[in-house]
This record gives sequence, structure tokens and C-alpha cells, in this order.
Amino acid sequence: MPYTLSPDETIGLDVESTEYLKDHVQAPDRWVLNFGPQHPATHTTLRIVLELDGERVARATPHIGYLHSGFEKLGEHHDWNQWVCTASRMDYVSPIVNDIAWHHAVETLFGIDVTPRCKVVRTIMAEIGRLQNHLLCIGAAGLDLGAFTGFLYGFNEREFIYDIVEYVSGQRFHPDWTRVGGAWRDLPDDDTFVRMVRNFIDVRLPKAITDLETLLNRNRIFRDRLEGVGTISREDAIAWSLTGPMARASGVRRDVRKDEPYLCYAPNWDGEGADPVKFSVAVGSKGDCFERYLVRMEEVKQSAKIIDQLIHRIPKGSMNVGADSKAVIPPKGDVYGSIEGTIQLFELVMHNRGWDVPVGETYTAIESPNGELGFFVVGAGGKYPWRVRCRPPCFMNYQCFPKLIEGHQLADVVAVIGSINVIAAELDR
Amino acid sequence: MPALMGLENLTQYLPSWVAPTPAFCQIVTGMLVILVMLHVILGGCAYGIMLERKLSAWMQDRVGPNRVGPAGLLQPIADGLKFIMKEEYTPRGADKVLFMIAPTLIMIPAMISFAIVPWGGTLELSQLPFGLAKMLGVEGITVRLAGAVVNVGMIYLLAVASLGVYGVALGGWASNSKFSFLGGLRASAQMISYEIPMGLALLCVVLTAGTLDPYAIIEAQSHGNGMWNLLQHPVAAVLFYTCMLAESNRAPFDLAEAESELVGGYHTEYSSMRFAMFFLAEYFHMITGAAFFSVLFLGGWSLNPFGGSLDLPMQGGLPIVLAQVGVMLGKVTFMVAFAMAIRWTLPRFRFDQLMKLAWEGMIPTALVMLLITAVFTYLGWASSIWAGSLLCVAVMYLVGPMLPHQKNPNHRIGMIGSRFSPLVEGTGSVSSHPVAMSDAAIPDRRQGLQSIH
Amino acid sequence: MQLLAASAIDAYLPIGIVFVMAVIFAIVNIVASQLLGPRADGAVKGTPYESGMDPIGSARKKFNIRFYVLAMTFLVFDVEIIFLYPWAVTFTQLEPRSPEALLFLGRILFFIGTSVVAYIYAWRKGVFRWD
Repeated sequence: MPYTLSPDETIGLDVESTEYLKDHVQAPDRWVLNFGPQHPATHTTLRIVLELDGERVARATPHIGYLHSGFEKLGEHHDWNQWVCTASRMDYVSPIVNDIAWHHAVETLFGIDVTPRCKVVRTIMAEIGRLQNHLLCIGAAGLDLGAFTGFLYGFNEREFIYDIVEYVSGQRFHPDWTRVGGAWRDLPDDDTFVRMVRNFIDVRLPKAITDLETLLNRNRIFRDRLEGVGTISREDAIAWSLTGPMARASGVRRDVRKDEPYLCYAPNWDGEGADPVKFSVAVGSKGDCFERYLVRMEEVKQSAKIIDQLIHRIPKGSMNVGADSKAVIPPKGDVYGSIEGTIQLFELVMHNRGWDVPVGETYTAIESPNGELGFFVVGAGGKYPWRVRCRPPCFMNYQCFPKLIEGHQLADVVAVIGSINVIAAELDR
Repeated sequence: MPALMGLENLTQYLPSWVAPTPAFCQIVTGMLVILVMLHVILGGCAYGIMLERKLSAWMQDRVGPNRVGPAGLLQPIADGLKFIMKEEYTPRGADKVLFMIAPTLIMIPAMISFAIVPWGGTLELSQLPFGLAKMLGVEGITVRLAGAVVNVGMIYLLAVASLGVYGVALGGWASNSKFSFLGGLRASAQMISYEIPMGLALLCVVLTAGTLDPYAIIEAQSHGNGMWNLLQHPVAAVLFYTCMLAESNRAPFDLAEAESELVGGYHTEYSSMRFAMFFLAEYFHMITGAAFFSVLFLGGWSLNPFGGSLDLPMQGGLPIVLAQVGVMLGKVTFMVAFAMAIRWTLPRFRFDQLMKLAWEGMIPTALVMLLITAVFTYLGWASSIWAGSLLCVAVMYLVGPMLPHQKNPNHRIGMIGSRFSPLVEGTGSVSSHPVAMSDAAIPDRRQGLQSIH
Repeated sequence: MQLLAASAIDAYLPIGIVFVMAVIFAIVNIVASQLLGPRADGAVKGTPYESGMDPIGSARKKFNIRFYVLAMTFLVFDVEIIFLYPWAVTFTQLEPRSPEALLFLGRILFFIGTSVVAYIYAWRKGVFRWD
């Protein structure tokens, strides 16, 4: 027993220690300021200890862990389907992307190739998740600078995304939608789904993009606040292993969708020689906050383009892989009507049974809105994963925060945090 | 009026020193105006908050407050009651006395500055209904519908406007909180900086009108060949309005209370009615600022921007004066709503940008405008002073590039103790990235985006 | 006997009234909430706000000298502007293009010029730069 957590005993673990202050210059004209965890602009609970010289930030020390929930450890005690509920709660700004990323990794481990229908719907939902994230982040770029209206212009449209997610998965916010080999249910009605997505892509989104661009792109104050702030060069971006819009704004041509294609981004995704979806990857060059905003804005348009290509090509057929894969719960009719179906159901739901898991490991990543979201999964043949490790894009992107902010001003702290789009739940897991 | 027969000699009951002289009537009118307008403005503050919430809701595709009372109209009353019922709380280590009087120190200047605003023109007491004039013995006397008729009104305005900085600075300092202190410092520097262009813009108006009396300034704009000063002095009007926003700490100049950086700025630690004082003072400042803008640049109660005879007369009976008050209040409401629309549209400045705007943009412009106005006045071209504004803009465009501009402030500065932006001996500042140091014009960023396929 | 004669100082009486009303308004409101509001105190509650953590160091430290220099520059200008107001009123009453008006104009240009020299000096010294 290394230590106990009973309150009357000293556990020798002082989480509020100020030891790190020894590193700071203790000059009389320097201020050390806690920025977070309870602060309106640090999106959820981030803590940054700032050493200020006047308005300038001389040193910034991010402290993480205020939202640590042991998600990865939970993964060792949840089965391959259950943990999707936890994964959903990591990047809560675009939860459906986490679902898809987790089961993409699991299916890679299992060696399952999902049906074309599932691939198309997952791709559409992944891009809708990207829109969901970017609409918030673009709006928040204005909100952090005090322009509240732009934030709501973006945020309003997310309501329609919630509607679509609810229609697909049954839950508005945390969908917990995917399952090994497919999804927990098929689309209730293809036509309604197509109509909802079309309405969003053709009517709502262009209006929101126009509103936001009109409000922000040529706004002198907005540009003066963001241009040249939080700059990171291409070499540094690679060295700090940044991904996603952060890296692309610095000129790093890296997009998992192009480099290691999956789902409908891969060629021949339907087994009949279908071309991968066509889209461009926005790459900036300056690497400052404004460039990140522009890259996100461009990605919104590209996402709409991808959805536009796929929405009328949803193949008919089954959402889940066939029963012979022994990965999915068969339809109710099969359970009651055939002995194979009954056996398959019991194989999956009985406590001492489960999936036929290969002993092995995989690291599989997809391009989440914030960058490369990868899962390292180790299967040991049992019902549960032996180890689950997540590579959250925020964690990697946020670590270069001191590099971005030091030497800039106090007001730039919020602008930089906003442009990194730190999501604490994903950061701390 | 037979019903009022017995009251004909009302004055005989009054003490002997209350004589119905013009000065006495003016003072009594002033007090009545103050009594009424104080309540109008206090109600305006409460409903200004409501208006702001509704306006922002309309701008943002929301509904806004609609729960308390019909259409949410009782919301301000509920808010006020709640403020009073909340706990007053003083943080440990705060300077208790200063902490307590800081809200009063910001409220008092905000409230007294509106005393000299002329809300309406000259009222002829002889035209009062019900034969009141005869009863009171005030026939033939005219009074102005202003709180105080002082001939140095504009200097009074400047003097009182300067006082507001005390409450902010003391409130920020007394709180013993870093966020408050930073907010207080920012607010002090901001308010004193924007006072200078405000004074200079005001001076242009004074030079054209030739008087410091707000009533006479309105008269100069609405009669004879006078136009609204907005048309005569557009540059000064823009400067004054901007300064008005900055003086009342409204967005985009609200960085003293920038909630995304400083949480609440100088009122972070304030709660209950003390916080409400800061809040009310902001709206008071905004309403009085809008009133002064209307007086100085929109011709007060004048309805015809180009002057001439098609206008409300300067003096008359009660209906005319009430119409003047209505026009004036309408203009004030419009200007307040305009300020709100600005707040919900623009992001806020950063502190160095704010200072740069004031000291390197607005003050030179205001000085040039003042010189041009002075020279035009000397040459007797006062009636075509609008050309001066064009000249001023042209001069600023020509001279602007020659002014000693600072480098683009959006770059890293070397700091002692910094890991990623260290101070390099001899250079003073260093950046890790050449783009950030460059002063070259930033090209169109949209073309900078490349694509790979 | 007329106490309230038409002297200039009487015109300020309403301003005094507003001042008294403002003081009463502020004090009554604050006292009312003192009386009506609840009271509670505690060690953690009394901590000055610093994003939910214990404050590091004092909030009353030395601060940047720039604020002081800026305040001095402000004083120069504010005092100057106040002097300009009486001039502005008098100047407009003079005959345009008369020698007297030229004299007034020249004087005030010299006066503004002295301040502008100080202004440019402060500008070149970097008083208005905040980095």
C-alpha cells in the first residue's frame, strides 16, 4: 500500500505546490499571475502560470490535469463497444469524430473492413463533426477578443448539427454511435437524413460562413489582434509534432486523410474501384493566429465539399458487417429465427465470452478537426483491451503554448489559446 | 378660469425673498428639470441594460430576456432588487475605506455631468396653461429647459469627465487583486488618453460656435446659416464619439473590464450594489455622452440638418418645448443604441493598440483639425468649415506615413527569464521568426493559402 | 430682499443639488444592500480572486513607469487645452483677417507649438510605445 487517501493522513503529495516558482525571476517588478483554472477565457479548466513584466508575458507555464478523469485506465475495464461512451466525452466539441476514431482503431486491430454504406455514413458524420468543431473554434476566435456576435453566428448552426447527430445516433451531444463493425443502428430513413444534411450544407452553412467572413475577415481590429501573434515556423511545428490546422497554418503539408487514407478518403473504398473523395487541404504559411483562423475557415468549405460528394452516394445494403465476422450483434430477426444468430448473440453478450480478438497491437489515427487523433490499442485476446492509449491532438498542440506566447502580451494569451483550440477533456483525458 | 379664481395672488403667501425674477425662475426650472431628468436617466440606465440585452439578442438571432413581466419588461426591476439583496463582500487585504468609496466616486461624476445638458429650448412662461403665469406672477419671463445654465458649460463637461478616473483607479487598487489592479491601471491610462482628443474635438466646435454655452452651440447649429456640426465638423464628430465610447469604457474600448483577459477588470472583486454602481455609471456615461453628442453635433432638438427656417423654433410655449425634449431624447436613444450596436459587432483592442490609436492617431488628427479650424476662422471661412475636414483627412493621409511609426507591435520581445523569447544582449529584442519582425505590408492572406491535392 | 440674485454663482446652485442627490443616491444604495444582503465570511471566501488558485505574491507591486510618464504627458496637454478654451471664445469674436486676429492666431500657434515640441519629443522617446 503506497499511500492512502484518507484525509487525516499526510499523503506527501502537494498538488498545489509552488516549487516551480523557483524557476521564475523573483524580481520586484515581475508579477506571477494564475491564469485559470477558473477563468472565463481558458476554455474549461486550463491553468497557466504567467510571469508578467507589465503587460508582457515573460514566461508561461501551463499546468494540466485539472480535468483528468482516467479515461485510458477505464479503457482496460470496458469492452470494445463500451469504451466508445468514454471516447465520446474526450473531445466534446466534436464527439462523433472520437467514436469513429476509436472504432476505426479497433476494427484495424480486428482486421474488419466495414461495409461501403458504413464508410460513407461515417465519412459524412466525421466531416459534420469537423464542421461542428470549426464553427465553434472560428466563433471563439472572435469571442476571445470580445466579439460575441460572431461566436453565436457559428454556434447557432451547431444546433442543426445536433439535430443531424440526434437523428443518426439517438443522442444530441454525445452520440456513442459506432460499434465494432458498424454502428448501433442503421440510418432510420435515408431520405430524411439526406434532406437534413442537404439543408444544412446548402442553406444554413453558406449563410453562416458568409456572416462570419463578413464580420471578421476584413475587420481591422480582428486582424490587428491576430496577425503576427503566436507565430510558429514550419520547422518548429514539425519539431513540436503539431498536427491539424495548427501545423497546416505553419506550412506543414500533413493531413491523415491524404497521407494515410481511411474510410472514403482511401481509393477503392467500396471494393468496386471508387475514387477517393476529392478535396483540397488548406495549407498556410505564416503560422500565426490569423492563419489558423483562415485554415479552419477553408477546411469548413472543404468539408462541405466532401459531404456534397457523398451525400447522394450512400449505398444500399447493410450498415454492419455480416454475421460471419462474429463482431456484431445480429439483427433481431436472425436471433429469433436462426440458430447461428442466437449463438452469435450469446457469444457477444455472455459475460465469459466476447470477441475473437487477435493478440496484437495497433496505432491507428484519423484526422480529427484538431489534428491527428490516434488510438494505440493492445489486444490480449480477452473481452477487454489490454491497454488503450490515446494520442489527443490538443495535448501535442498545447505543449508549444509557452513558445507561442512568451514575449507577447497578456491579451494575446486568450487569442493564442483560442487558436490552438485546446479542449481540456481531451487534453487531460 | 373661474375654478382657479381664488388662487390669483398665490405669490402673496410666499416669503418676501422669493421674488419671481428671471434668475430665480431659471433656478427653480433647473431644479425641476434635474429632478425629472435624473429619474428619466436612472430609468434609462435600467432600461438601457434591457435594451442592450434585447438589441444584442436581435443581432445574434436570439430572443433576449422575456420571462419577468410582459415581454420581460420588469427584468430591470428584478435585477435591481437582486443587486440590493446580494451580499456585500470585501476581499481579504483590501483597503476597506477606498474599496467602499470607489463605487461612489465613479457614480457621482457620472451623475453630475448631465446637469448642464439643455434638454429643451426656451420656455415662455407667459404661455403656460391655466393662467399659471399670472398666478405666479411670472409673465414675460423666459427660462431655459436645462439643469444649470452656466456659460462655461463645455469646460464643466471636461472637468467632470476627468473625475471618473478616480473611482476606476481606486477601485482597482483597493481590491488587492491582480486582475483588478491591471484593469484599474488600464482604465486610468485609457481615460486620460482619450480625454485629450475629446477636448480638442470639442474645441473645434467651440471655435465655430464662438461660445462655451451648450444652448448657444445648439442655436448656432439650428438657425441662420448654421448646419449641424456633424456636417460642418465630421472629423471632430467621429473623434468625439470615439472618445465618448472610450471614456465610458464601452467596447471596443472595454479592455479595462475585458472579461476574456481580466475577468472583470477593476470590478472583479465587487459584488452587490457596489458592482451595480460601476455598471450604472457606465450606462450613465453612455447616456450623458450621447446627450452631449446630440447637443454638440446633432443640433440638439433641431430637426433640419441644414439649418434654415424649417425647424422647431428655439423658444415657445409648453407644447413646443416638450416637442424639443422629445426630439432630444430620440436622438440620445439613437446614439445609445448605436453604441450598443458597435459593442456587439467589434472585437476589443489590445492595450498597446488602444494607446497607439489615441496618441499616434487621434491626437495628431485632432490637432490638425484644430489648426485648420483656427485658420479658417481667421480667414473668415467659418461657413465652409466642412472643407476643413476634407483638408484634415488629406493632410493626415499625406503626413501619416511620415510620422515616426512604431514597428508592428505583434512581435515577440526578448524578456529576461523567458525560455522561448530570451533577451539577447545588445539587440534589445529578438524574434525567432522573421515574419513577425517584418514591418512590410502583409500581403493578401487569402492568396497565401496554398492547396495540395 | 433678493437672496437669489442674477449673479453668476447662483447659476451653479442646481449643480450643487445634483451633487447632493448623487451622493445620497450612491450612499443609500450601498447602505441598503449592506443592510439587506446576507453576510458570511470564511478563509477561502476572503481570498482575492485569482482564477480559483491561491494568489501568488502580492497584488501591490511596483508597476511600469510608462503609466507615470503617460500621465505627465496627459497633464501637459490637458492644461494646455483648458487654456485654449477662453482663447477660442475670444478669437471668434474678432474681425476676420484683422491684424488683431492675426496676432491672436500667431500667439496660439506658438502656444500649441511649444506643446507639440514636447509631444514629438515624447513620441520619439517612445512614451506611447507599450512593448
